[in-house]
Amino acid sequence: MTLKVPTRGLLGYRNSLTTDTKGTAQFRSIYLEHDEYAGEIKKNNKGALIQCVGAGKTTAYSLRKIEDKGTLFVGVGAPTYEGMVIGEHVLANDMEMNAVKSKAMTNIRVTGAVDIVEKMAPPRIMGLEDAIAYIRDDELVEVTPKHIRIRKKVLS
Amino acid sequence: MKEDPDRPGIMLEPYEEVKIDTDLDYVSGIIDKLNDRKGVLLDI
Repeated sequence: MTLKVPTRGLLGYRNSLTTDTKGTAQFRSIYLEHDEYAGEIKKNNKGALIQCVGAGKTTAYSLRKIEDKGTLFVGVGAPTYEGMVIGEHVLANDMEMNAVKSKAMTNIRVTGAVDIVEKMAPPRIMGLEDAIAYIRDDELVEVTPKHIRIRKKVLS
Repeated sequence: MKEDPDRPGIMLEPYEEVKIDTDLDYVSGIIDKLNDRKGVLLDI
């Protein structure tokens, strides 16, 4: 089939197509023309999970709790900072979370600490195209040589 | 985006021609998703 689609509408679409068709679709696109602005493209209406305290590395202890609130974009041990988007909330509102909180030390030793990490769903790692397609008006994509992150325009 | 030289105030944006080859089972889902992204079906 052949379609005419605004270039901005194709941002992040290839991954979606691969998922929907289980990798069986062939996709080709080429510039066609400039035409009238098609209007606002609807984005998903889910909120963001935002790191609410200062810089630090994420811990399994806190991520395991945050995981219940939505899909994570960072794994255990990832460096984060205040205002960074660490996941997608299941609801429409943004929620501030502390992903760097570590468990208080006690005399009690618990086996199975490694199991916590293994039982967690893998984080959703986004490429540049996916991140640009994903962000909302109050967010920015931060690109460094090693990482692509999403952050709020206003960090705190 | 750029302004239409013939029609002041009208903004133009780039469009791409997209060709997708897939099983018939997936066609309706693909068209739905691309319609949400302001795509228009040219040929099937």
